[in-house]
Amino acid sequence: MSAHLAAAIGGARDAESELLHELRKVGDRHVADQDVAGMCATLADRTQRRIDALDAQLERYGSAAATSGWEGWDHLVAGARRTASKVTGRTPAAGSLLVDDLRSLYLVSQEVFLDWSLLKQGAMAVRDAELLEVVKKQLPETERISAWAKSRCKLAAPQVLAG
Amino acid sequence: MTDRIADPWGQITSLGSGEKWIARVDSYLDDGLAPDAVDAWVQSACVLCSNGCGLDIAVKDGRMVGVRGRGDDHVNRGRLGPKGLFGWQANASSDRLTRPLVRGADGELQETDWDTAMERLVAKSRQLLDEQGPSSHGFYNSGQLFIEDYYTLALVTKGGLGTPHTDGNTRLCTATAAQALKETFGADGQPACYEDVNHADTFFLVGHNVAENQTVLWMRIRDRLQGGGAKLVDVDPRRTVPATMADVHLAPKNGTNLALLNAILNQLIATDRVDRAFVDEHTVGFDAMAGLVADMSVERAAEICGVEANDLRRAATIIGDAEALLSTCLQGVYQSHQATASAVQVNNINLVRGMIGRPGCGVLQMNGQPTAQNTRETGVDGDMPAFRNWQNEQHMADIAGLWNVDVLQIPHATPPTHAMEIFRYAEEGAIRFLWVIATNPAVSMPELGRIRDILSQDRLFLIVQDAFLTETARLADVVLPAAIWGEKTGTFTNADRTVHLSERAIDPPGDARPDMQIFLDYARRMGFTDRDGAPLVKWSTPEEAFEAWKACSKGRPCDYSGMSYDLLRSRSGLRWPYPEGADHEVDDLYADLAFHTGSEDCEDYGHDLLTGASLEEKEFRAIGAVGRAILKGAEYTPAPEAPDDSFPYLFTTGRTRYQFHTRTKTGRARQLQDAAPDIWVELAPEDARREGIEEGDLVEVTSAQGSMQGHARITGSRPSVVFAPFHYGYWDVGRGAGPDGHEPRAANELTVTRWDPVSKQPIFKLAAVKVVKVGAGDGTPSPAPTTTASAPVVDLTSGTTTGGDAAEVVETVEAGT
Repeated sequence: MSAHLAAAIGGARDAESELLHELRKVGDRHVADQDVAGMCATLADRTQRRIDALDAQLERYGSAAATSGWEGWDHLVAGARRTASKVTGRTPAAGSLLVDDLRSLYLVSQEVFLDWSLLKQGAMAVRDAELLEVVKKQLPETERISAWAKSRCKLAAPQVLAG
Repeated sequence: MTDRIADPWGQITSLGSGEKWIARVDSYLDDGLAPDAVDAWVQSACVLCSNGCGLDIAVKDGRMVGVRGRGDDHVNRGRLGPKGLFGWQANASSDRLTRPLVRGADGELQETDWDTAMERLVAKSRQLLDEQGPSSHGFYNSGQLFIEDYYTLALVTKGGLGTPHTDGNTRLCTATAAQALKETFGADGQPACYEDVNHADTFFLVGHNVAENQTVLWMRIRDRLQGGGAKLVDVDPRRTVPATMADVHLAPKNGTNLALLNAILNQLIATDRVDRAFVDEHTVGFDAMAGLVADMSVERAAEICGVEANDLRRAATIIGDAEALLSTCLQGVYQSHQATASAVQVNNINLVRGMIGRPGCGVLQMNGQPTAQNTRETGVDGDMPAFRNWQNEQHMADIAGLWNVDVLQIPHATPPTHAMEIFRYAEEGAIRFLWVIATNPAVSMPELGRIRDILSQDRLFLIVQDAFLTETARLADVVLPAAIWGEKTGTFTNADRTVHLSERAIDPPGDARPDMQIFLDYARRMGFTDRDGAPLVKWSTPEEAFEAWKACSKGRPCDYSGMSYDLLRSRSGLRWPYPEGADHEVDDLYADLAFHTGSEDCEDYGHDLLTGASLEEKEFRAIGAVGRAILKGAEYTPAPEAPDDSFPYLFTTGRTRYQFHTRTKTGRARQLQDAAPDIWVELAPEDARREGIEEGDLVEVTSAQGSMQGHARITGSRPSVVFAPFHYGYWDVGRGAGPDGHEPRAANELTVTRWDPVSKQPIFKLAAVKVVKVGAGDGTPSPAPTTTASAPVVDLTSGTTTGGDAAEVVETVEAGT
């Protein structure tokens, strides 16, 4: 099995880990924006499912599932973030914080989308039908996160930019 | 004579398949007044639910004295429901607002004249425009105004001020209906009409307690069931009247509608009950949609929803064998988890069966309020006027041309802001001028503690325009007294596209003014002009406003251009589309199976139904619908509001038949108020036993958001579901804007701030709660009506809902039939 493809799977997994961290962070920082916090939680659950799918593939390719530094400590600061966001959420700064956070979330999700797109090509190149099946199922999911982050960011931006 | 509180639907007039519904004229007059003693009968229609039944208002000595249904009106054929029969009495209440109020230096509201009140709000408006621009202004309106009011408001806010922040309380009742129609058919517009009931052989009611919320539509369905050969499948967690008459009643756990509907669709596909020829020719997206539902077997859905797999199979068989299927949805879908995805799935069920656009076949995505349809059409509810697409530059240029303003003046960098976001902007201080019109968010919005905090902020300038000093008005800086139905002329459109003219029957009380006149006054004082420096608003009478609206609607799906006040006077109810030169009504909107899914035509490019991400033009084009209906779906996801050890029950709110909204009118009509005088809490028998609660005990219901109290009613709803009506606030129990330190009684104290990601409709049907007995009853039953879904499971010795002599109504069945 291709070591390069294994590395690409590991790369996608790292990007997903960062996305998971971003989703948790943005959700916790915007509890006053219920729709954002709620959708971040929904998308974080689905991101965890994709990470599990990548781990299963990494195992097939004989690589250990890497644990990136992000995943361990989010829960430690979640409470503080939520408390702080209840306060900042009631100030005029809330809008620009939201736009900034959604903007970076979008950029991280784009990296994830690109990595999965490359995995699709890799799976085709090495004729790995099982990996290809996984990618076909998950690729639209990564696109969906980008679409939501962009869409929600664009909803929030004009109020901030005009203010 | 029939006591129409005790018997809300009156005499049955059996309706056989395809027959015309016999007219039955219902009339109620004050104090035994004889019909020939009435001075004038003034043409109108009812504004106490979305049915919009045609009626005449009886006038004697300059005051309203009764109502009579219009026998020739296709909506109701003369019938009226309890709210229509008795609700008009509220106009004459002694506590109507008759003069403007402003908050004085002492912090109290005091009476003043129009000039003082308007100058105060105009000064604030100008100051904030200078400081922050139009994004500082928000408008939260209603589903109770007329087209003329709404269209004037659209022009003033979008063309004059240029703020994107205008929405209606229709966000709470009908946003999902509109959105589901846009997702599937490309534009808003009710596909079916009420005569489809006459022709249908199968009714599929999803989260729609029609017997309670649209009593006259239920009379028609009931009569059709009586006429024979028709079946009913009902989805409702409560034991409603339709549920008791259904061939299959499915009572799913709150928040699981999508699992249930996906399973039915999956079962239709698996049992080959799909009209493949129709699907191939008139839809796109079947394979992807089928893939989404493929893993939702009836067994899996049965487990998720807490229903019997066999009942799901039977439901799918009835729907699959239907030859004329009429499906309807209401708040059980729209105010619950995955609302838009579920409502769309109901569209899909009819589409895969090929059942749309012909007699008896179609979908009624219902409205809640009488004029909700018009907020959607005129563009003051988070839409653009006449179903124009905010992402379509040509559509925006068309509006700018109509109004003679620069296209950039029209806010379209985003879709118009939805109500939940308007309140959010007010919460963070981004909106500082909020004008609330004919609605009462201090009782009707979710999580009332939060709403009161927002509305009470010093940094927010709050204007309330209403007929009564509501809970919300008590928090206002300026209160403007409005004329209401019967006191002004205008038009409005019901849930099946029927337009009625409602004439002014009596004078408004004191200095109260029609809403449109208040908006015109604001525009004049603000000096809003068009591109040539002429006044922005070119009209001053309702008829002129209607003519302007006709021009705006011309060529769009909701085309009114062939109508006129004279035409609407010459008959009773006329459906749109009715373009210039039309000579007949369009009953089924999609009889030609030409859907509004062309990219130049559509009102919306649609959304991802899971996340609510909006599609852009190129993504929409890629779907390639071009005139075909769009099949799309989403997978079921569990709702975040799950019961746990601390909050073991699921709370849901709803209406009761005799009250409407926050009871500003129905609470002031004695027959209606007496039938449902106070808040109650419904529990299933096993839950009541577990908590040691009996009928009439005082209980407290608590969620993470807040708590409320009411007397217990033991009903037949599914176990673990707790229900309370949302109508009861604080105005008639001697409190102010809220409980003021006493026991709270508003159901929305408990509800959560969460909304559907696509339609942005708040979720009122799901909150995890606990229930505690706080006081033993004295043997008196709870004040819940016994003639509704709140009926007790055991017969009570007292407390049966009757109206007595005061509720006697004359029903005259059409002769010769």
